[in-house]
Amino acid sequence: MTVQQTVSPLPGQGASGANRVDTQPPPPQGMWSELFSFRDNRLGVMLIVPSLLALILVQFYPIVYNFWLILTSEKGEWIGLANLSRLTRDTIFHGALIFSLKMGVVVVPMCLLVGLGLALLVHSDYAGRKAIWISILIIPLMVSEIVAGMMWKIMYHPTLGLVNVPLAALGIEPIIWLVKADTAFIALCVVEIWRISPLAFLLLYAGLNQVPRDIYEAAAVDGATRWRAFWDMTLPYIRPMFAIATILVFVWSTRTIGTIAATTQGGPGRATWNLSWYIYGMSFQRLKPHYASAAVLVMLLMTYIAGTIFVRYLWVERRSR
Amino acid sequence: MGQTEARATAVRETAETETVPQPVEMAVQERRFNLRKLLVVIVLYLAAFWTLVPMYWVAISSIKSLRDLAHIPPRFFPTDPRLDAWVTIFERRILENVYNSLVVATLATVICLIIAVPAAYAATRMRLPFKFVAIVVGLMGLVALLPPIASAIPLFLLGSDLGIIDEKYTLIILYTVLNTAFAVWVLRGTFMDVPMDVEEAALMDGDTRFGAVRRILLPLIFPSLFSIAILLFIFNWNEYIIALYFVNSMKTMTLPIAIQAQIPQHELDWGVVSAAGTIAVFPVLVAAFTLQRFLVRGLTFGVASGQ
Repeated sequence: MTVQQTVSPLPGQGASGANRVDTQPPPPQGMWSELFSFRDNRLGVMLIVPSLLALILVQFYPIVYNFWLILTSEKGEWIGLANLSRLTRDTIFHGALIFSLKMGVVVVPMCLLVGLGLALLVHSDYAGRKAIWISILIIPLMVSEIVAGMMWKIMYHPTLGLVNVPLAALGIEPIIWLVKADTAFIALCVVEIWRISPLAFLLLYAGLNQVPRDIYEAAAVDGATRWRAFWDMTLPYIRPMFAIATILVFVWSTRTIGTIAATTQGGPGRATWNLSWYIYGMSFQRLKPHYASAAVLVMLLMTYIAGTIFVRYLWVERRSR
Repeated sequence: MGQTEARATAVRETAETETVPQPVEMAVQERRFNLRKLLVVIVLYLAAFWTLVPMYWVAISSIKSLRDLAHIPPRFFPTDPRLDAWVTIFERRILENVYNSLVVATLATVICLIIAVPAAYAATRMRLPFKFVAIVVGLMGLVALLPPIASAIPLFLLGSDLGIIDEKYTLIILYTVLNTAFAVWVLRGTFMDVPMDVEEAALMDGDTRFGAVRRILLPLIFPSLFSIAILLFIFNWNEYIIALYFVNSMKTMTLPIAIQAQIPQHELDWGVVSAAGTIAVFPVLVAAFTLQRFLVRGLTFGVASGQ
């Protein structure tokens, strides 16, 4: 609002536009480089170099170095693909991979459902103060994963915890959640849904806000039911955001490490090892960083494949309409 | 004039009933209105309860007496509040961890913005000589998907070779560079939303480029900049995986690692770890309610610009 005030009294705003027109057409908005016709290459490079160095240091260097690590043994000798072939025979790794995928299969749809439901509710006209609802509902996003895990460890605690209280009211025997493999899986899924569904909520809410309102009025005139309006108009509109939400939720749920560190520590036995926990355990606790790098490669591939699939089937389809 | 008024009333009516006024439907709408609103609000309250209850539970556990902690079924309100756990946690020098987290998160945020703002400016406002630089900036949007644990091992080995493990400045450098790509990507979206004409006009009027940036562009993008800064600070404040590899001693221990160290594997000290958790969540809760406008904007921004 102060912004407008600083801008509007500027003289020559229209004039500069007029001057420019006869030499060249106005540049298209949103393009990268054609925005300004000034030639200042050297300054531009100087401004961008620090970020480029940061990108190289933390993203490209590690990926390249990762391949080097995979191809060498812990003593630094060249061993070719031995690390990878060992990984394919490693049952602990299989367990971790399956656990990650299982968790993704449960957590991703649940987060999207919860997120979409809450986004629709907050977006509806019945929700009063939207800003307050939003800031309450996104709080889990701002809690560190280790703190989230710690909170839920207390919630699941057989005597301290709250989770068993409603179950006891229903006459169910108190469950010691984190001690058995199957209940620990359910417990971890619930923690992840608590932690990650606000992300889906936020993204889908942003998507809903981009849907133009007048199409609903048009649909109401045509006699469309609410359900049809939602199915045929809202969903196609938020489809790109839905794709982004799916990818991010999947990535977040597979990279989880803090919640496991706080709750089960991978136990009982190795029942709750996921990929991240495996990589951490192998590299840091067992001091086999070269071998763990092979698992990192698998994780990167998984992210890449999932991203490609989601983009192809969720995002692109709308573009072709 | 009369026509405009009529249209205004029509618009108002539409806004009130939220459908095109049709007599029969309006009657139905009228009857169902309250029930529907009630349902929506109830579900939202349940969602808020579900979101907040772990935090309430942790905060309440930190002031429960030992008798209350052992009570079955657990009490929703403490009958005999004690501060023992808080005394213990301060005796365990949690304030040093808070200090470490504050220093690391603040400096990393500031340095990250100092690096990222010029880069985003150059990427949107200048003609860059190499196409590949533009491509690299585009790639920055993608790297947000890479799990931090993928970079952790190579960086850890590099850090051990250089002998800079367990130093605060190492954490600051790493947090800075880990967030730079994200910050540039989001800032690029912010800068593209500001029309060029304004700055061009200032330049035509004889202002220097730096003057145009300082007087025109920065005030325009300040709210977004502030949102992004808050977001980066929260990322850094919560960062766990890199710290797991790079923190070895009390000298560098940030709050998330300190909390992990407090989690008992056996039946002791639940009050103490609850107190530590409360300390970690408190600033975030304060931020959520005082800075909600900026926060929601910052959180949505990254994605909106990613499209």
